[in-house]
Amino acid sequence: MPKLLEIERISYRYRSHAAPVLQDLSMSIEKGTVNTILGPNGAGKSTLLDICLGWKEPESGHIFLNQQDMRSYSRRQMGRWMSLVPQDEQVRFDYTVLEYLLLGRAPYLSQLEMPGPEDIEIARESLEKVGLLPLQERPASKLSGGEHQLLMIARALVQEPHILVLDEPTSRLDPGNRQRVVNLLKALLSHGVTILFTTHDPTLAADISTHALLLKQGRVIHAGPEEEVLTSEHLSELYGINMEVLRRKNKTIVFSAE
Amino acid sequence: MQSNVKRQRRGLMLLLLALAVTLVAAVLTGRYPEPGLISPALLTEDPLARTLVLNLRLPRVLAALLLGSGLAAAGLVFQMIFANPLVEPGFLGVSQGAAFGAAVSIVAFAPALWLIQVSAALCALIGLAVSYILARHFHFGGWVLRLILAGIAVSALFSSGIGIVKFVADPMSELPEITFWMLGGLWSVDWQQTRSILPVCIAGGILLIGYRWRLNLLSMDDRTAFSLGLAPFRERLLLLITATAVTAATISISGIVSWVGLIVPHIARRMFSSDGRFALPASMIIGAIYVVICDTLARTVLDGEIPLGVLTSLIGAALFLVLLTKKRIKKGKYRGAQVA
Repeated sequence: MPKLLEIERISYRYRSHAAPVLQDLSMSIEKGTVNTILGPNGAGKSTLLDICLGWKEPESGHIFLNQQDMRSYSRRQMGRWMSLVPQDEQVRFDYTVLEYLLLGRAPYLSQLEMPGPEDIEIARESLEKVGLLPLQERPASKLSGGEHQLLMIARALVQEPHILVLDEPTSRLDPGNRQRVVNLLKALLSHGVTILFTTHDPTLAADISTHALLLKQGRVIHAGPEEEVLTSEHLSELYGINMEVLRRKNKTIVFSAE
Repeated sequence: MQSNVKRQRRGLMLLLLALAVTLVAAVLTGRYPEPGLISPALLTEDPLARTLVLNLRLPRVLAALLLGSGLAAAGLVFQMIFANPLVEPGFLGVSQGAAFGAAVSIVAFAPALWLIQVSAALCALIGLAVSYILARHFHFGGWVLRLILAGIAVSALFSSGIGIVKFVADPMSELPEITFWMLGGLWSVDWQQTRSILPVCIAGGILLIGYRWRLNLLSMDDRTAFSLGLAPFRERLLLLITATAVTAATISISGIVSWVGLIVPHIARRMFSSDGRFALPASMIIGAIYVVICDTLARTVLDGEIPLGVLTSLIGAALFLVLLTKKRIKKGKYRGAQVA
C-alpha cells in the first residue's frame, strides 16, 4: 500500500521552555485506510492532528505527503489533499446549507474566483451522500446537532480530499446520529477515502478503524493494525484503568472493567 | 440555487436603479432658487444655477456616494472578518485615530484643510498599525480576540489624546472647528477633494468586490479557513488594510460619520443574503443611497447645515432599534449574523 502521509520523529512544544507536547513521534498513513488516534485528555491528539494538517509546525522532524516534503505544497494544494471536520464549528452568518457547502470548493478556485455550476453540482452530490439534499435551501444555522455534523462532513467531502481528517467526530452526538456518522464513514471507506480521526471512544475506533495509534504524554505507545493495537492490555495501559475488549463476529465493544 | 442567484441579481439591479434616481434627485434638490427641486429648464437658462449644480452639488453628491459605499463596504468587511455583527470601521482605532489626527492638525498647525485630511488619514492608518502590532504581542486568545482588545485599547488612547487636545485648544476658534469635524459633514467638499479620494475608493472598492465570496471563508475560524486552503492571516490583513484605507480616505474629507458601517451591512444581509457575493455589493449601494439622502437632508431641511454625522447617527440608531425589534417579532426570519 502506498503511504500518503509519513511523519518522522517530530517534536512539538507550545513555548520554547515548556515541556514538549509531542516527543520524537513517528507515524504513517496508507491509502484507503481508516486511522484512529486514541489517548487520554492532554495526550497531544489535537496537536498531532494540527501538525498533520500543516496548521502547526513541529520544532524538529519531517512530514511527507505523498513522498514529498509537506512544506513544498502550496496552501491551495494542501486544501485539495486534506480536509478537516472540526469538533465544534459555529455557523456565524445565516447561510443556506448549499451556500455553506460551497465554501469547501475554495481550494479549487483562485482568490477572485467564485463557485460555478460545476462546483454547485459537486456540492449537491456531497449533500446527497450525507442525506441532506432535501435541506439545501434551509439556513445552515438552524440544523440539528446531527445534521450539522453531517453538513461538516459533506463540506469536507466537497474538497475532494485524499485524506479526510476528523476531530472527535461523534463526541457531541446522540446514539442515533452517532450511528449515522459511523455508517457514513464506513461507506466512505468503501469508496477508497483515507480517513484520520481522533476520538475518546475506543468502541468507535474498533468499529471503523483499520489502524490505530495510542498516544500517551506526547509519545506513541502502540501503533499498527486495529486488532493488534486495541487490546485490553494496551487500552488499560493507555487510560490507567482496567479496560476490557470484547470481540464478536462483526462487533467489538470496549468498556471499563472497574 | 440558480433561481436564488437570479433573484438576488435582479434585486441588485433594482437597487442600482434606486441609486441612480437618488443621485439625480439629490443633485437637483437644494435651497436655490427656493427650497425643493430645481427645474431642469432653469439649468440651461440660469448660469448661477448651472454653476451651483455642477461645481457645488455634483462633487458633494459624488463625495456622499463614495463616503456611503466606502463606509458600508468597510463595515461589512470588518463584520465578516471579525465574525461579529457589532463591529464597524471605527474599530481598531481607525475613527478615533482620524479624529485625533484632525484635532492635532487644527491646533498645532495652520488649519489648512488639506493638512487636516492628511493628518486624519495618517493617524487612522497608524491606529490600525498600532492595533496590529499590539495584537501580535499579546500572548493569549485567538487572533481575532487579540485584535479586538488591541483596537479597544488604541481607541481609548486616541480618545484621551483628543481630550487633551480639546483642553489646550483655543475655545473661540480651534475648539468649535474640532467639534464640527467630529460631527461630520460634507459642506466644504469641492471637485478637488472628491477627486483626491477617488483613486483609493475605486482601487479599494474593486479589490473588496473581487474578494466578496472569499469573505465568507475569512469569517470562519482560523483553523477551518486554513484547512480550506486559505492563508487566513495574510488575506485578512490585506482586506483590513484596504477597508481601513477606504475609511481613512473618505472620513478625511467628511469628518466622523458614524453608524453607516454598522447599520447598512445589517440591512443588506436582511434584504439579500449573508453570502458576501450579494451582501457586499448590496451594502455598497444601500450605503451610498443612505448617505446621499442624509446629506441632501442635511443641506436642505434647515436654512443652516445640519451636521451629517448627527443625521446618520439619528436615523441609523432608529433603524437599528427597528431591526432588533423585528428580529424578536419574526424569530427565525432574520438574515443577520449570529452574535459570537
